[in-house]
Parts: sequence; C-alpha cells; structure tokens
Amino acid sequence: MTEQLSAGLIVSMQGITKVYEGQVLALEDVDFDLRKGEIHVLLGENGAGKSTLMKILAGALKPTEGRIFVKGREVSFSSPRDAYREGIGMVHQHFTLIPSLNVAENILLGDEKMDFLLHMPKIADTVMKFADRVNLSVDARTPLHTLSVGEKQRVEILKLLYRGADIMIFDEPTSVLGGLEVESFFETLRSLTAQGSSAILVTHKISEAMNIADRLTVLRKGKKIATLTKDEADERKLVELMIGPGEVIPPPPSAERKTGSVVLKIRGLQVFDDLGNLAVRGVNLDLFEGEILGLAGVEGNGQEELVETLVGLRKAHGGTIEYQGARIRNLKPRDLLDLGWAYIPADRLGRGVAPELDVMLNCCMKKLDEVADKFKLINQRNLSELAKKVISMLGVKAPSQKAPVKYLSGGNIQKLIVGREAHLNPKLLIAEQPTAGLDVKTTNLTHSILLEMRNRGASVLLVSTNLDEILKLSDRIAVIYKGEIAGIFSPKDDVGLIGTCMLRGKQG
Amino acid sequence: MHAKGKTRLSLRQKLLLLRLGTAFIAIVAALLIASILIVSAGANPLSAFYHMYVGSIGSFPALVETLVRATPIMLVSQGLAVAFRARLWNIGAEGQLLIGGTVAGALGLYLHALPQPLAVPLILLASGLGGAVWIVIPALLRAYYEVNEIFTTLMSYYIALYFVSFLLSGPLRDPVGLFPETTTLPKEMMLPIIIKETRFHAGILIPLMIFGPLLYMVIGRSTVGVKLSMVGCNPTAAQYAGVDLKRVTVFSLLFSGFLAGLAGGVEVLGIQSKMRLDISPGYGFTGIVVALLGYMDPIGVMVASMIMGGLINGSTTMHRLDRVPVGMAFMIQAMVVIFVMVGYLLYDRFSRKVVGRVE
Repeated sequence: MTEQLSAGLIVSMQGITKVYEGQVLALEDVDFDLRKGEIHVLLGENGAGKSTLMKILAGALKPTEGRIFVKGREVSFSSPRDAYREGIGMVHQHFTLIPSLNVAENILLGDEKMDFLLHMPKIADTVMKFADRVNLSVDARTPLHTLSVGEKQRVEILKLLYRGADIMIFDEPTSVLGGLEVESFFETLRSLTAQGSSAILVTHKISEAMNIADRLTVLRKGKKIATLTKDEADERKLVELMIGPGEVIPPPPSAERKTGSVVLKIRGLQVFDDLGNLAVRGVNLDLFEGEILGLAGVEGNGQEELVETLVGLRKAHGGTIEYQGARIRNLKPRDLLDLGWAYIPADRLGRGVAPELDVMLNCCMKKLDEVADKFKLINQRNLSELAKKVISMLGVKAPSQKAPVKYLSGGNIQKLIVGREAHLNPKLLIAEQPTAGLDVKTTNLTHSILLEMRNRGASVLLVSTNLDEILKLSDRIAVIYKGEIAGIFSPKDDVGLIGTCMLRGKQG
Repeated sequence: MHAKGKTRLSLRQKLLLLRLGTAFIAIVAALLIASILIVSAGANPLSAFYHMYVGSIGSFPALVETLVRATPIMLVSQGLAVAFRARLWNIGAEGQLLIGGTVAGALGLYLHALPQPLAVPLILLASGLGGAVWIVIPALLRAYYEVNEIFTTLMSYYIALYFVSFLLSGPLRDPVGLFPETTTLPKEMMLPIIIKETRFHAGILIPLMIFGPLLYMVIGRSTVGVKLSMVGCNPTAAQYAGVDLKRVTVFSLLFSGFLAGLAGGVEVLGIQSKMRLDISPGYGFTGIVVALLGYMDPIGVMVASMIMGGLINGSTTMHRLDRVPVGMAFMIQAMVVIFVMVGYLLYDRFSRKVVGRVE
C-alpha cells in the first residue's frame, strides 16, 4: 500500500457498507480518504450516515463490508481502543466525561502511561502546560460539572490531543460553541494540522465547512455524493448536494408582528454560579407578549445561569421576576407547566427526556393527565394518538414508537423535544439552542414553529450562541455580557455593532 | 412504524422475550455453578435437583408449602418493585417486616373483644402502617435533604432488630414462656385456613389477589407508574413534566415499608401465631433479590417469588435426602443476584439490536 502513502493518504476507507440490525441500510459502498495534514469536512443532513461512517473509523462500529487502511496498513478495529492505538481519536457529540472528577483527572483518565500512584499537583501541572501549548487554556483543577457545555467540549478535545492522536474526528464540534470559541477552535485546528496532524470534521453547517475545510465530502442518505476541494465548492452547490435536487426549502416568511404588554419583567436579578461567583449581575429585561426576544452573547457570560433561574433549577440571590404582574422568584421546575411555560433545554439528554422510557411516553410526558381517565389509567389509544401528533410536528425518525428514546440519534431526540414543547401551546417559551444538531430542513421547520408561536401571541426567549439564528428570528435582541444586559438591538441594526457589544460590552 | 412484514412479534413482545430469556439464563447459570458445589459436597447434582423439584412443586402439599414460603417474599418484593422503579433503594425491608410482625403479635393479644372478620384486617393494616412508619425518617431525609436512602434504610434495620429484640425479651415477653417471644395468639385472631389439612391460609391470597392486580394496573397502566419510571430514569426531566419529586419519593418508600410490614403481620397471623425474632429467615433481604430478578415488573416479581420460595423449600429437601448443606439455597440465591446483574447487561446489549436503529 505504498502508493497510498506516497499519495499522502493517511486514511483510506474503501467500499464501506453498514447494515444495522433490523435491516436499516446506513451506508452503501462509501469511499472516504484523508490526507496527511488536511482538514477534511464530512457534510450531510441528519441521517445521511456521517456519524456511522466516523464511528466505523473510530472503532466503535464494525462495517458490514469494506476495507480500511490507516497509514498504509489494512486494519480491522474491534474497539475504540484499537483505533486509539493507531492514533485515531474521536470527540463525540455527547460528551464522555465524568462530572465528579476535575479537568486534569478527566484528561488523564484511561491514559496507559500513567503511574499507579497519582500525584495531583504534578498531574494538574502537566495538564496546564499541555493545554497552554495547544492554545486551549483551562483550569485543570475545576470540577467538570461546573463547566459550561463549551468548556466541557474543550476538555474533550484536550483529552484527545493529550493522548497523542494524530488523526482526529470531531462530531459536530461547533454545535454548542459560541462565535468566539468557534474561531479559536478553528485556529487550534489549523495550527495542529500545520504540525502534521489530520482532522475530520463532521458537520451540517455549510458556512463553517467552507471556512475551515481543505476538502469536503458530501453524504446523502447513506451514499457518497461527491468529494470536492475547497476551491471547487461554494455554498449554493453544497446545499444542493446535501439536500438533493428540488428539495431546497425557502426560509419561513416572517409575519406581521403584534406586540402586546410586558409579560415577563426581570429587575436587578443576581445569580451565583456553582463556584460562588456572581454570574448574573443585576439583569433588567422585559419580554413582551407576541415577541421573540433573542438573548445573544458569547458562551459563559451568564446566560446559562439566567435561564436556570428562570426555569427553577437555580435560586436567585437578589432581584425580582414578575410574570403577568405576579412575583415568581425561586419557583420549581414543575411550576412551569402550571404557568403555561415551555422549555427547550440545551442539555437534551439531561433535562429533556427520560432516556429509558419509550418514544410514546416521552412525547406525552407533559400531558399524561390528558391521555388518562379519571382513575389515572392511561388510555393506550389516546397515548398513541398524542404521540403521533408530536412525532409528526418535526418528523421524528424512530425504529418504533415503543423504542427507548436513548436509541434515537441526537437530532431526532431534539426534534421530539421541540415538537413536544410546541404542542403544549405555551404562553411563554424558553428555547435554549433549539436547533443545535438539527439539519437544514428541520432547522427551518423549527424556526417557522417559533414564528407561528409568536404570531399567536406567545412570548419566546430565544437563547442561542448562533447569531445568524438570533438575527433571523428575533424582534428584539438583548446582548448579555459579563452577567449584564449590555445592549438592546433591533435585528435591522448593524451586525458589527451587535458583535462588538457581544465581545466588549457596553460602548461609550 | 410497524415491523417490516417478516416479523410477527411486536417490539414489546420481543423485549419481553428478551427479559425472560436473560432471567432464565441467570437462573440456569446459577444452578450450573451450584451443581459444581453439590459435586464438591459429595452428592449427585441430578439427584439433588430432582429432590429439589420434589420438595418444591413435586406434590400438592409441597406446592402449598412453596406458596406459604413465597407469600412474605412476594409482599416484600411487590413493595420494593415500586420503590426500585423510582430508583429508591429500600434495603431495610427486613426491619420493616420485623416491626410489622411485632405490631401484629402485640395487637392480637389486645383485640380479642372484636369479632375476627374485623380484628384480623385491622391488625394487618396496623402492621403495614408500622412498617411504613419505620421508613418515614429515611424517606423524609431522602426527599428533603437528599440523604442516601441505602444507608438510612439499612441502619434503620439494625435499630428495628434491636428494638424488637428488646420488646420481645422485656415488655412483650410471654410471662410464662421459655423463649423471648410473645404469647401465642388465640385461634380467632389468626388468618383462617382455606384448604384443610394444609397451611394454605387466607393471607396467601393478599399478594396474589389484591396487590398483584393492583400493581399491574398502577405500574403498567396508570400515570403513577409512568411517573415512577420517569423519576427513576431522569428526575430532572420528570420535574419539568410536572412530577412532584418529593411526593413520589415519600410515597414509594412508604409503600414499600407498608408492604414489608404487612408481610411480617401476615407471617405472624398466618403461620407463626406469635412474634419471635426468627419469624423471617431474611425475607426482607430475599425480597430485594426477587424484585430485581422480576425486573420490578408486577407479574415478574410474583413469578420470581415463587421461584425463590421453591428454591428455599426444595433445598431443604435436598439437604435431607442428599446430605447437601442447607446453606446451598442461600448460595444459589446469591449467585442468582450476580447472574441477574449479568442478565441486565445482556438485556441492555441485546435490546439495542432488537429495537433496531434509524440514524
């Protein structure tokens, strides 16, 4: 296989076919290769087979047919550990970190070179130095459960790098990162590939793909559609390749907006984070009837704590929250339903679903009383009908209504949650990263659902690190910076102005 | 969403078969290892297992005795199934059972005045409440301060053990008896025998006819059952769905305590006719195994209780006829626990394949 090496191919996958139990054809005769030192982006919609292909390369799945060559040798992995020995490491969409351990411990976990006895100061020091070298600064002693989603992801990447992986696979790495973090992640990636590492990036975000890729491969419905160099590709072409001819859905039309009175009134709200620092420092915010208020900001500026306080997971330290004129400080998660609120959490497995229960029950878990009789006995037909309605809202793909939700893909779990919350017909919706991990089609559908809700007169607080999304949907944009509202903008305002406010706070 | 033509079984049926299969494998594997031990004890495993069959379900009297043995186990495990579904681990059912038995032994002596049809249910209700009261503190600590209930319930068992032991050798002791036990109850205070010449008493019907169907409806069909499972697999998501965590925690722990206490009461009024410390050879702990072996399923725990009752009675026969130590039954029990855990892993592994995937 020297010809592969001389062509600069570090990975070559040939004729990969994967059939899942239950005769689901996930991949059909797919070829894929990676050159040394390149960033190769794997593009495709949800269910196109990207994750499957990468799990095969990372040793987590076995292909039904096909051959894999790594560094010129044919390989056959039976576990991720085998792949890791060949220098292949993967950062998954759902993190594989242990919340109770600190950053350094997580990074060194499973490192085969470790001494038997642990010397914590030394370990922390080693990790800090390493982190600085790869430009991903962390505090090695922070317990993991206190980190934001973005910071956790950074730890995952660091873990991979620390183990000396030179072929790195990232599954939707930017889906939860803020704008600034995405840029610094890309920079790291570029400097690493400049030093001879190679990276594969799985994504469905076309603009990011164009930004970072050396080459791009597009998958659609389990088949490889094309491999292009960056110069051959443009955004329009990629959309067509991904979605297929004639399936491009126009973005939803924005409708007439009728603004009512103030529904939610936040005054001087102060909230501590897990470390005891004031994360929300006197936030004043109004949410009107029939509007979408976008809360923009770089991740880690207090939006997480703000939302957690609103949905009852965190206690406010000071200030007031009024809903329709009544004070509701320090309510409990279950009070949300009674108030007519709905919540789409960013942490979908942790807060959104009961993973071991089936699809039907997860669809109906907020309306159990509606499908039960007066003796609280569940009527199976009502249950199934309500579940069908929720499933059809966004087209959840599941092997069966009775399948445990944990066997659904991340995108489908998100579709289920969005559908379920929308079906509640809430008066107020708090949507946190509602389209993270969704494909173009479903993202558009979600957006029209949010707009419909607003047009009905509901209020939506949209918390997203994706500024494009906020600009597209919001009637007003509040920028949060270091725990304060640094400015209120209209979506027609200059994007540069909003961006500067996100990065530097209040101007003048 | 239905299977694609070829397969006839629904997904639910397939998963049920998988459950049964893995439970079966667990028991067979435990018996296989037991046969190695039987050989090492110098007996013939085939003869030993034959006698185990004879002693458990091989004849009508043996079957009744197995039911008698299974009754307290079944009651305990029915209660535990409810708590375990919400991932609340009441380990102290044995203590609650002792308290329930003591309440029955004591009340039986004071309620002669009442007619039997009134007194017996009243006493049983009281022993159930005794068991429930015994778990109130662990339940509240868990619900309001998130104190791990495994420790508190286990510790409350020791308190129960020594408290009951004090009562039996002091205030409640039969003044004329030789042993630390209560005075033998009059026949009118006992649960009536239903099948003459056997020990088939009315209490056997309580788990079979009352709590069996009740749990089948509550766990399998009602919103309460769904809420229990929701709390068990994701308490945060359950809260957002409007579930009151504290209420579910307190309710399910108290329910498990109630049934354990009732098991003690039924044992005293059905079989023992007095409260002694050894009314239970560890039914409260066996109930834990049985709840797990039955996958916390209403029907599953009933079947598993019968299996466990048969195992205990059968190994006594085995002990007599094959000179195998009687402790073998407990060793087999312990091995069943270990293999049930393996069975859970197998189930997890294969259920993914059974369900299939849509990427």
